[in-house]
Amino acid sequence: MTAKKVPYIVPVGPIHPALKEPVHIELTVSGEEVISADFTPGQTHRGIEWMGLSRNPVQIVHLTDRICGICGVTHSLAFARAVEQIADITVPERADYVRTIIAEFERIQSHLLWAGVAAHELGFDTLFYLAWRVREGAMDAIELISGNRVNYDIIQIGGVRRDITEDQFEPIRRCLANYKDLFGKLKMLFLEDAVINSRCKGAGRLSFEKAMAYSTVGPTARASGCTADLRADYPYAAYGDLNVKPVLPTVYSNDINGDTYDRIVVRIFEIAQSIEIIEECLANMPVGRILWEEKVAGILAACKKAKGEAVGLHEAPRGECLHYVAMDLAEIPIAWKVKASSYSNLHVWPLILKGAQLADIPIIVASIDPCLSCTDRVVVTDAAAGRTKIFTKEELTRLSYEKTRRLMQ
Amino acid sequence: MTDEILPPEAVVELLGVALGDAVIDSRVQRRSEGSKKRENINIWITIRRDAVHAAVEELMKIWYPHLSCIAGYDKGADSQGIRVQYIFSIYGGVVRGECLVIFSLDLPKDDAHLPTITDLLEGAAFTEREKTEYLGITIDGLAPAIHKFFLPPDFPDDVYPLRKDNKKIPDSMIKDLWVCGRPANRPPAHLKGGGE
Amino acid sequence: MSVFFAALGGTILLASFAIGFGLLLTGIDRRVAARMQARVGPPLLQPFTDVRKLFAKQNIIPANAIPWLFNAMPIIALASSIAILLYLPFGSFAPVLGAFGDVILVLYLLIIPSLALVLGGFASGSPYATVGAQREMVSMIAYELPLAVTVISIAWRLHAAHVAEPFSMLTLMQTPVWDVVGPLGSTALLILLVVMAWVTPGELSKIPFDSPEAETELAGGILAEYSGRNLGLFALAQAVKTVAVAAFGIILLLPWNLSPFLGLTMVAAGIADLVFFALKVLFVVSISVTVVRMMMARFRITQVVGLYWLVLGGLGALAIFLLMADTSYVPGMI
Repeated sequence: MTAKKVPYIVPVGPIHPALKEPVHIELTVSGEEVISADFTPGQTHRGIEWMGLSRNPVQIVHLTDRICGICGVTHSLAFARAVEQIADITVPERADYVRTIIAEFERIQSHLLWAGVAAHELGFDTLFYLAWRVREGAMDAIELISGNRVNYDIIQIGGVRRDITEDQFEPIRRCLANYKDLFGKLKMLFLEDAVINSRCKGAGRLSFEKAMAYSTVGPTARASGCTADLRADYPYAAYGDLNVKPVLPTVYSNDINGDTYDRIVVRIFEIAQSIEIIEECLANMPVGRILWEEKVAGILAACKKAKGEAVGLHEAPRGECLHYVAMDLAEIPIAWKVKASSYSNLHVWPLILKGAQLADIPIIVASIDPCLSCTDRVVVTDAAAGRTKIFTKEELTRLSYEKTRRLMQ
Repeated sequence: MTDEILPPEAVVELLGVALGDAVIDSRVQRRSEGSKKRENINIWITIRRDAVHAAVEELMKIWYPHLSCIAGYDKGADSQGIRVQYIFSIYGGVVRGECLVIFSLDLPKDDAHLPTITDLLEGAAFTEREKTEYLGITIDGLAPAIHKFFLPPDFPDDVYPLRKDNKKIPDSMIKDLWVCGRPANRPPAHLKGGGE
Repeated sequence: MSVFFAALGGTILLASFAIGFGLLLTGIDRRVAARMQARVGPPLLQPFTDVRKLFAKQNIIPANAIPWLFNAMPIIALASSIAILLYLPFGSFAPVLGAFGDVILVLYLLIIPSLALVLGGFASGSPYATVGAQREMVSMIAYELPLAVTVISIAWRLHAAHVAEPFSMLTLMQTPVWDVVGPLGSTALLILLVVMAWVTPGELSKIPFDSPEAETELAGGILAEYSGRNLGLFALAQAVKTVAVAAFGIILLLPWNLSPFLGLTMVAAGIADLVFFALKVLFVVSISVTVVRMMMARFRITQVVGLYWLVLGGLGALAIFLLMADTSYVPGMI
């Protein structure tokens, strides 16, 4: 913070208005140009994998719902798929369709949320409010299906916990029709606006080669021309029955630049794609049960007999989400590894920030749609003594207990 | 690298021939979901620890792979081993053709070293560093990190969150956090303003 | 002596009017903006509450700051903003210090609040504020060109029409430049109106020209380290400046008074003109600040310079040529 000579060190985060989540980015800046960038994620270690290693799969499913505040179904779907493969559980077809529908609604709401954030990063608050208002439709549909808006808790090992009933089809279709009407408007506002064009085109460019070498996933990879989309390439849930085509920037323009603008294009058009997928799923929904085994004890009994390892994949709104699970004839898994989508995208920041204008940092950082965990520690500075003390999570927990006890006395 | 899409058995065979006796065992796992029961394919190959780099090199000859991540787990407090999985996928972008290739290997805790594969796949550094921070595996050939990437900066150095032995997270970091007294040396909070 | 007291009284009266009106304008701006974004928005008097709260808050001075400069700048910003008002006629009220300065002085005075912000930013000792201050300097240099072009060309056109004292603010107010030009000149003035509509948000550092403060990039930039009373003073300065900048634009290009049309005289005329003037300020702020702010994303600082120098500077040059052509074909009508 003290450096005044050129080049400056501009710290961004862990607490910064442009960042909704804690990550620390240190930029070396000369004038308005970024010379180099370094980033430090992992400002918080929540120890979720560690927690999972003392719980059974049914409990972990609920834990996975809480890994991310936006991807409420992503992690639980990937985890459930991994466990189902180890225990050799066949998911009823109808459950596969319900999973797909809720996953696509999640994509709609997540992309709209991102679009709003992107507009805000550009200083275009009207668009931010509009996008978030439009997002409410998807949130309502998710609430209608799952009963919850954020932590859906709809996935269970071997199926889903709630069915989509006949009378829910109508409101869902209404919601989709509404989105179809709005799509043209969204497209115009985000892709044709002169300022968004001039700010985003050419900003944060990621070449196809680097996108491949860094194993990026999701819209970030597709905006750079990688055709990878698990929904098309790797049949799972109901996606194998559908004809999903990966959305590339070429749906809107002729060439692929891999810049921030292309990432907007991909996300906006993926909303339209999700609407189509949900419609198709609703039309072809098989009848039948929604759970392989309704009793939790039955599921756990199957888990107890399971031995082996498996990988559960799901194309989350941000890209491939992967859960690796290993079980060994016990309820509690011996290994659980969560690879969230952003894990594969974060490490391109130093690449795409290099040479960027300072003004474009928020939108470039946001353009890969980073999703990190959301709590942080507190640094207390004692100016008189010249000391800095970092309160760890443990100490803060201790202090909170203390305070509660004082209040209760 | 060829453009031909090989069936999984052929991929296994190719890798088996190239790696020789470094391949301990292999299996092809198929799983079908949905109404049409289309299959997705995972190839599991267990290799000797010293064959990692060669395995990735051979895989790259088949198709430019996508490295999802390197996973790994401690086999237990009384076990001397860590099991590591390199989770790749090939044929990404080929409709209904993507195929996971997972190389598993066992690593003794007292010699937890793995070669870096960043010379083949630049982006592997991130997930390799995670293995160092979470499991205490030293990656040979990777420049030492200037800071932690996955753990808070104040996290103790000799503690690895995913280990189950004596290097695991100590109980003092997680248990009975409420058992504490208010530190006596802290002054009472003052709410007055104007600190000019 | 009495002149001094009259000036002092006028200043106090004007300052309190401008602060109150400026804060109210901010409130209206925020409310209208909220409605345009389908929100409810804060109460109209929220800016008053905000400023009152800021004055009650702790005033923190960063360890890296240069304290005297850091503390002096908010006061200078407010004082200079009020000083601008002393040279501006409001409705049919003559400027308090009209005899001591003209439009060129006002042009310079308009720079001072921004300059105070820049110095305050540099004195904060924070990289965010430093970058913000650099951007503020650049944007000052950028909008100064089209602003100066506008002022000079209008004054020159009045001079060409043989109006006495064309650089006096009172003349500009009493002799609408529209009355002396022909059709070509009117076109030129319409162009200048567009130029002024874009200069106004730049002067006030509003979106799309708010890169010095850019919340998401610089976390408040130039004002990042300011808090409490100092930030409150800057808020007041901004409110006064809003009135001053809008009034300046109005005097240049929308100067008509209501009283001649209604046939009012004396006090009634003064009040009617003042109310009409206030309405015009509200109109200008609504268009140039609120609506523009709602429609646009933030420009990069390089884009700001490009817009002001190339696009608006070009438009200004075009207006000058049209005015010159206008003079040669239609000799002054007064």
